[in-house]
Amino acid sequence: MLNESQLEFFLQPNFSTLMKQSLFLACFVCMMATQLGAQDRVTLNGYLKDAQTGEVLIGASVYIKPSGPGAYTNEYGFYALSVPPGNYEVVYSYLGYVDQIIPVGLNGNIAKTIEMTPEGFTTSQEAVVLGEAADEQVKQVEMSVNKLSVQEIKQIAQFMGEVDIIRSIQLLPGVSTVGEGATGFNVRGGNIDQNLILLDEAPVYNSSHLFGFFSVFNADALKDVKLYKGGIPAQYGGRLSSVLDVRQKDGNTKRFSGQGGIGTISSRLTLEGPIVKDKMSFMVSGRRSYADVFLPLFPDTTVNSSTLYFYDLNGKLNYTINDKNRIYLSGYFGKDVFGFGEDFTFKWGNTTGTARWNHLFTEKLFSNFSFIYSDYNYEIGIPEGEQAFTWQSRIQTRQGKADFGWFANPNNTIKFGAEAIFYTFRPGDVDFKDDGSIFGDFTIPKEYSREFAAYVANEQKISDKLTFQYGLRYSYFQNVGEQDIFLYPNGTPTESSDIIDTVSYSSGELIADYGGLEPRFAANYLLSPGSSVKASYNRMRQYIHLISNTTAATPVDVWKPAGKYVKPAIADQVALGYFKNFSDNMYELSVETYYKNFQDLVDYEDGAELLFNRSVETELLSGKGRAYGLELMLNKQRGRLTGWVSYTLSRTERQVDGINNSDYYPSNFDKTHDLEIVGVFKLTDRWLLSSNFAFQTGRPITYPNARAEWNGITYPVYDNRNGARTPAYHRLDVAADYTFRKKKPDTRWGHSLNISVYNLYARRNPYSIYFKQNDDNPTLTEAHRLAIFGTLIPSVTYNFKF
Amino acid sequence: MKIRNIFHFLLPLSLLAFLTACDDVIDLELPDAEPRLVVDATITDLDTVQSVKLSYSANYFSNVSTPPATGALVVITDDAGVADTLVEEGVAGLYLSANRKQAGRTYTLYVQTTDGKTFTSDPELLRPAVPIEGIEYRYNPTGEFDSDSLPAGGYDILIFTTEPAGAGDFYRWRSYINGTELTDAEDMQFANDDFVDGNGTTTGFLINADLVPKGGHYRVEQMTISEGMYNFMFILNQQTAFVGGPFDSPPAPIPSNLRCVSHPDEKVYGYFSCAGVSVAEITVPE
Repeated sequence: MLNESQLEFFLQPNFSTLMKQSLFLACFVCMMATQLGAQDRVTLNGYLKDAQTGEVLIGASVYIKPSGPGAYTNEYGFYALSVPPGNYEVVYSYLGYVDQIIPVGLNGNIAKTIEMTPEGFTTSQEAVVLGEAADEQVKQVEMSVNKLSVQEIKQIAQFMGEVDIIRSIQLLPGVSTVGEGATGFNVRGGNIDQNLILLDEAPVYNSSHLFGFFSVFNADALKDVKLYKGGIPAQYGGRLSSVLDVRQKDGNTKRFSGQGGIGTISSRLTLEGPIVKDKMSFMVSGRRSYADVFLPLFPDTTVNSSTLYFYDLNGKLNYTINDKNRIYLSGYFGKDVFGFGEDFTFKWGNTTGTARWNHLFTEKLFSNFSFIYSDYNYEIGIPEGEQAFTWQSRIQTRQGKADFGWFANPNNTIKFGAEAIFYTFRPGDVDFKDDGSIFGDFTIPKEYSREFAAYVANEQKISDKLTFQYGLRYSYFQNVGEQDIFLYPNGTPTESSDIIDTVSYSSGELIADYGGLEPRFAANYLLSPGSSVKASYNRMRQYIHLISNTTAATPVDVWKPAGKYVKPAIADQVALGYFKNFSDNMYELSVETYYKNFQDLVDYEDGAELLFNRSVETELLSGKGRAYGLELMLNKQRGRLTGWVSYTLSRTERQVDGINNSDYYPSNFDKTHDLEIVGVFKLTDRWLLSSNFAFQTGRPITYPNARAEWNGITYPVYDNRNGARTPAYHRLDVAADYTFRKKKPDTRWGHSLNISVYNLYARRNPYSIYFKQNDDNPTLTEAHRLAIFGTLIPSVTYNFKF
Repeated sequence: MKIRNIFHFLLPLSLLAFLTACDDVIDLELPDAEPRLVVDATITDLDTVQSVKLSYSANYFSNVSTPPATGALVVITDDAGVADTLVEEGVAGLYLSANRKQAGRTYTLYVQTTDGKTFTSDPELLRPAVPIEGIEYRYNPTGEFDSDSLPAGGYDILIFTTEPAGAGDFYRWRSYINGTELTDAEDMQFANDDFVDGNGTTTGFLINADLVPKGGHYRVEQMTISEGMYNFMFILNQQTAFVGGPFDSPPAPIPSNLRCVSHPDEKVYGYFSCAGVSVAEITVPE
């Protein structure tokens, strides 16, 4: 996986910087370790799994009755609990599953893998024990975290019946978007490139299908989604604002099963099953849209000769070699294909691959080694004529990672690890096909970078009431050759015409490097068994930026690494929260406030030309940002009616020298009020009704303050960036899901029909207001309101599983 | 370079997939604006009357042509010390000169308006023209990528030219069909030499203008402009022709190479451009 130039890195003198920092981290670990001392304890460890599918359960709680020491399962479903020898009653608990209370005689180390039965799968209602430990949000030290199970997401009313992860998380507090159909999401004032989107630990560089209407995540292939908005643990880094950790299903280890659906937009099929029962299983999933199937029906030749579709393939294989070793291979491949008659093609897509090896060094030391590949690329072309060309762009990363989880004792859970990422950026290669054309081939130079990080963190129970999670991450980034770098007078890139010289760097030669510590801290103080206050602080560093100056990011935007002229960005965030569960954990209430400060954000000159620009650094500016807000969420977790109410009051601002007279201005996605209501009602065993309501302050836009004329064109004169707002946004969606009666009660075959209406009262929510001359009378100027969805959008989806 | 145009054409189409996007004109109140001087001047080395058009900016929704700036003193000086005073003739706000300007000279515009305010431009070099070596027409039955295409098709125009070697050249093309200049925002055509540096063509360079009808006369002016003028056109084009989609660039002030000398805080709009021009003409037979 390493090429020659990457190996050279390890021989370079600047490696010593990293070594020093790593040594420092190592000392930090040792100091903690000595504190933990060897005691006379025995360990209970193992995995928690779903009894129906064998899927491991992430974040489930394990504790000694009545409220003794406890632990949570990690990302691989593993837990370990060290206690003095004795006889205990151990409670295994996970939301949506029946609690298990198991007597364990612990006289030596014991491994116990527990299979949990989902609620509702038991035949007698009385057997359901309401989970005492469903109070995770109160007891866990982590805050600013939202977890959604795919099960939960599937019940929410969805746009066009497509179960979409990114749209669903936009219903959570602190998450916004510039508008319907825009790629990505904004978390607590962060740009869309500040989200680390992980699919089985592989970064996804563009999460959109169809320019942003849908996301690359096919829910049928997924298990669990977790969004970190603050208090981000030390094992994550590289982005400023959030981590969206999406885990694919491991594949049913019990029996062969499948599910799928036929929808308005796409059809999908997922198959999974054991290859060797309880040892080895697989999951494959595919989805394809077919909006283009209907295009030929349109009379317009432009439309009926177009191609427009996307597809996804997901796959995973896991193999439990023995109690100590487990291997996972998983991958994703997706593409959007757009064609415009014979004249034009446009394709883009992601590829990711992850190989992981879980190894248990001791009964308390869990490890995971990952090799990760991720690639995002696009290709645009005109196949024929004197302008025939192809234009390709790509970002590619290879990554190696080692993560350790040391369940030292019930009061200390230590995590440490290191990672190395090797980037290749190909911003653009344009190849003109016609030899007689005036156009010559054009390449924006490739860039190479390496990112290294090491971290250590401890979750320490100080007392019954107080828990700390403290960690330190050190990251180090290099931008290296081979590359030619332009030099400018005074070292600042001004205009391409100012270039005074070019310096060539050879392969692997250091062009610029950056690094620094990223402290992370979180604390939880239990006020009562059902309520707690939490506080957190995190510093994040981001070394690669998405170069995008449009309202919504486009598929052709390219990523650019920090380098000679572009600095890495830094964000510091503090958050405070109050958490309360009541009515036997049926309701979860959270109140959080945050303040976030951004440094060295990339911004753009007015009218920046960002594509096909060899000296793109001349178009970039560096800015500051600040964001603060209050988030409220009330979540009803059980009963016939479930769902949540989420409200966010926030402000997000940017300040860039040279833009808006260098004053702070609201960012494109600043929405003062953001209210989301999600309800799911189980009417009968067959009928499930759901509804969403959203209300948001309009997004900031710029109004012209005058008109001027130049060569027959009347143009708007703008002065005050984002000085106005679109009217408020609100929308109601409804959906009904009908599960058909099973022919035989014990058959596995089940099917259902979902009918949904998006934007029920057909509000024309403005995406933007823009200004232009009237087409017929150029002296008339008009304000236009653009609504992405001008009406209600119904859809029907048929789902099945077996 | 057409890639840009294609890209912008493609994006609205993606919305079409849902056929629900909706665009309507709304009423808005905008605050009143102070009138500011707007300069529209392109000085060329052609042996024709050169003109500078002066007007004032107005409220965005004023919905009449903006008022001309009449009675001003307009002078173009060059780096040889020659001052050419322009005369307001015929059309209010239009100042003319019959004195030919030369490639290789640097020109500066001075304006004094009737309220006593004085304005000046940055010095602008008149760059030599790059010759057009040939011009052809070619039938285009569909008019793909051309929103104003004729229903029955029309003729594309191809020109032949060789771009001088050395990066950093900027061009603008003005098109005239049957003597009328195409001045819609979508008709602006300009380029840098990133893709064409030092290249010639045997198959022709497609001019991105409206299709020419049978019997139509077409004239193109290939202008060698400054980088500043290119940036002015780039942003102007972005703010006028490419608006209304989810992928708009943020509205931004359009840069100018003019400033108010007497009142340094007062903004001036427009551009004083100098360009060497090469002309080609062709008539499509009936």
